[in-house]
Amino acid sequence: MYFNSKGKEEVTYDAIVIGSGISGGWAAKELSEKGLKTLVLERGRKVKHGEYPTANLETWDVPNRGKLSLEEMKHYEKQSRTGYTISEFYKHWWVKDTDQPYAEVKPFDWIRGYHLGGRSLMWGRQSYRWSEMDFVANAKEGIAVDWPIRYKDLAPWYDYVESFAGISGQNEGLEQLPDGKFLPPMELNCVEQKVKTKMAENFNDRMLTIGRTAHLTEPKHNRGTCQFRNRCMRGCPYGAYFSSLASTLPAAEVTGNLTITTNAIVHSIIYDEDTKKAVGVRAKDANTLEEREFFAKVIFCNASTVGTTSILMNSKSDRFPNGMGNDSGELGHNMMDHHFHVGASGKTDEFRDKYTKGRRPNGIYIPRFRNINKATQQKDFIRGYGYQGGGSRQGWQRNVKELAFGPKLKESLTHPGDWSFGLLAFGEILPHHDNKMYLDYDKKDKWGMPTVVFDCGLKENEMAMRKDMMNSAAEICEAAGLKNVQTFDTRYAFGNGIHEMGTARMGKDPKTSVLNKWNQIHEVKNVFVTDGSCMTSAACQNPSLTYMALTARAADFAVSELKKKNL
Amino acid sequence: MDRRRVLKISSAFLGYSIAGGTAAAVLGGCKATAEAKPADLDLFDDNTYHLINELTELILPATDTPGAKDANVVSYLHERIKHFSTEEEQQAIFAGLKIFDAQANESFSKKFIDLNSEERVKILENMATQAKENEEHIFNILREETIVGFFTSEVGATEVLRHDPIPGVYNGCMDYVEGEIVWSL
Repeated sequence: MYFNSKGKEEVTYDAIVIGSGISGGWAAKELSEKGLKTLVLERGRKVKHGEYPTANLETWDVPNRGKLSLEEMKHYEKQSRTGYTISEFYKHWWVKDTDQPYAEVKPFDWIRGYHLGGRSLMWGRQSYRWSEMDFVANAKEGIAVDWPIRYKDLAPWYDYVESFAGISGQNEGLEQLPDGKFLPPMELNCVEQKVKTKMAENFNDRMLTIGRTAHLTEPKHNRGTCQFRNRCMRGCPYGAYFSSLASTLPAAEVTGNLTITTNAIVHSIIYDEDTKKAVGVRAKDANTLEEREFFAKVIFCNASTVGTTSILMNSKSDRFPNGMGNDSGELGHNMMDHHFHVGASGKTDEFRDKYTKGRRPNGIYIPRFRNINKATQQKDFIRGYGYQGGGSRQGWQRNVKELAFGPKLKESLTHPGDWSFGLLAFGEILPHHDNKMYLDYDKKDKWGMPTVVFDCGLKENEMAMRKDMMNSAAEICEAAGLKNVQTFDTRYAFGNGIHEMGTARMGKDPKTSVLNKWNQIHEVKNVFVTDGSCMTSAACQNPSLTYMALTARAADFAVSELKKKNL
Repeated sequence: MDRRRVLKISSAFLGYSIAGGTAAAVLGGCKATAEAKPADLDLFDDNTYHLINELTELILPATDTPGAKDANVVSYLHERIKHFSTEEEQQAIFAGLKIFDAQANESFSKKFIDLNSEERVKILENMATQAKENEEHIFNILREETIVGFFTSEVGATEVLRHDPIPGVYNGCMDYVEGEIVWSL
C-alpha cells in the first residue's frame, strides 16, 4: 500500500497543502505560523521570487517583439484564447496545451500555469470584498443552495488578509461593495475624473471609484512599492503586487515549519475506512512518474477549482466510489465564471493640454448597481455586474487615417492623440447543476492522469444581463459627454474570465453540497477545500480576495480543531 | 531620403566624395542602395529586400530623428512574413509587392527601386488611394507593420519616442506642452 522507501515518519507532517497559488500560499502561511509542520505539494517546477526571466526585458530584447511564431503558437491553442496570456514575455508561466490536453463539449477556456506560486504570479490583482447581498442571494431567490456563511463571518478575515496582502483602494461606504483596510489609492486620470463627476451629476444609483488592487502603494514586509511599469504578469522583481512567491510563502518559510516539494502531481487523497479520515495523499513525480505517499493530520486542497475537483473525483474508495466527498453528487457540477467581453467606449477632445506619466497597472471600477434594492430591480435578470475599464491618451498605436506615409505621418505619431475611455462589464453567472466538468479515464495525459472534460454554457439570465451590460455602458459613456460611443459584445467562452469556481460547493446540507461552513468535506472532516471550487455562488466581483479570507478562516478553525483533538 | 544617407551611399557608389549640396543633383534621385541583402533575410530576393527597405523608409523616413532604415524595419518585416504568416498570406503579400514594380514599369518603365524620390512618392500615393477601401491591401499591411516595427524597435522607442522603463510614479493628469513627444509604452 505504501510506496515510499523512506520510513513513514519522514513523510509525515501535521498538514499537507495541495497547491501553491493564491489560496495554497495562504494555507501554507497560516498553518505553519500556527505551529503546524506543513508540506506544500506543487505539481509544477520550483520558481524563486525574483527569478523572473523576462521582468526587465524590452520589446526589442526578445524574438519577434514578443509575438510567438505560428509554429510555436500551435502549443498554446487554448492558452492563447484570452489574447493577452501568450507572448515571449509570459509563455513560461502557462501550460502547453500540447502537453496538457482537455476536452470541451462546449467551448471552455481553461487557462492555467503550473509552477510554484501558480496563478498568483499572473493574476489580475483586482481585489473586492463580497457583500451581505452576495451571501444571501441564493436563499432569497431560491437559486441552487444557500451559503452556510454570511458577510459577518468573513468580514474579520477580509480585514486580516487585506492588511497582510496590501490592497490599494478607496473606501466608498457602499452596501454592495464593503469598505476594507486599504493602502492609499492610485490616481484617477483626467478623463476618468470627468466620467466620475458626470456620473455623480447624472445618476443616483451608480458611481466610479479607482480599482482596488493588490499592489503596494506603501512599502510592506520587505516588499517594494509599485513602480508603475505595468509589466506585472512577467513577475515583479520588487514584489510590489501580492503573490505567493513575494508574500505568503516567504512568511511561511521563516517559521521553520514549511517544506515545499515541487514536481509533485497529486493523484488522490488516501482515505482510511477505520478512522473515517484522510491519512495522506498519493503523488506522482512529474519527471520520473515515481509514486510517493505523504501523510498528515489535516489536508488543504488548493489545487485550483478544476485541479482540486479532479483530485477529489480521483480519490475513490469503497466508501466514496464516486469520488471523495461526493455523496451529494454535486462534485464537478455548478461551474461558474464571470462572463464579460461586453461594454462600450468613447473619445473626448478635451484635455489636450494634459497627459500622463507612468503605466498604472490598474483601472477604474464601477460597482454593481442592478438589483441592489427595489429601485434598481430588473425585469429581465437577477444579480448584477460591475465595470472595469479606464481612460488613456492615445499614443503611436492609434490609426492616423488621413496621413498615409511620410514625414507628416511620423511627426503625427510621435505626439499624443485624443483621450479615450472604455468600460468592460463582468457579470455574475448563476450556479447550474448541468454546468459541469468530469474526468475521462480512457484518455490519460502523459502522467497517466485522467483528463478533464468541460460541459458548461451561459443561460437565459446571463444572456439577458449581457444586453444591459452593453447598453448601460453606452449610457454611462454618453452621460459623461464622450463622443463616438461604440458598444461591443465579442466572444466570451466559459472559463475565459479565468475565475472558474463552484465545483465542490459549500452548503448547509450534506445531501446537496460538498463542503460545510468551515470548508471541510462534510464526510471527511480533516480535508479542507478553500480554493475557488468551494464557492456556492459567483457574485460579480473578482474572487481571489474571498479565497484568501476563506482560507485564513478555515486554517484558523483547522488548527483550533486539531488542538481540541476533533480532527 | 535624407542628405546624410544620400552622401553615404553616393560615396560608396561613385567611389569619391561629393560636396553635400550637389549630391542629389549628381545622383538624380534615390538610386537604391548598393548594400547587399543580409544573408539571414532568406525569404526575400534582392529586389524584394530593396523594395521593402525603400518602402519602409518612405512610410517613416529619417528626418531630424532616425527613420525606418535606421531601425532595420525591413528585417522585422522579414520575421513577420516568415514566421507569422500562413503560406497563403505569404503568397498574397508577395503578389501584392509585385504591384509596386508593375506600376513603376507602367508609369516610368523602370523597377520601383530605380525610380527617383518624386516618382516613388507618386506610385506610393497611388497605392495609398487604392488601399483606402481595402484593409487587406498590401499598402495597408506594409504601413501598419512598418509603424509597429519602427516604434517597438530600440531606435524608434528610445531615439524617436520617449522611453520610460521604470516610471516610479503614476501621474494621471499632468500638464502637456504642445509638441512634447509621446511615451513609447
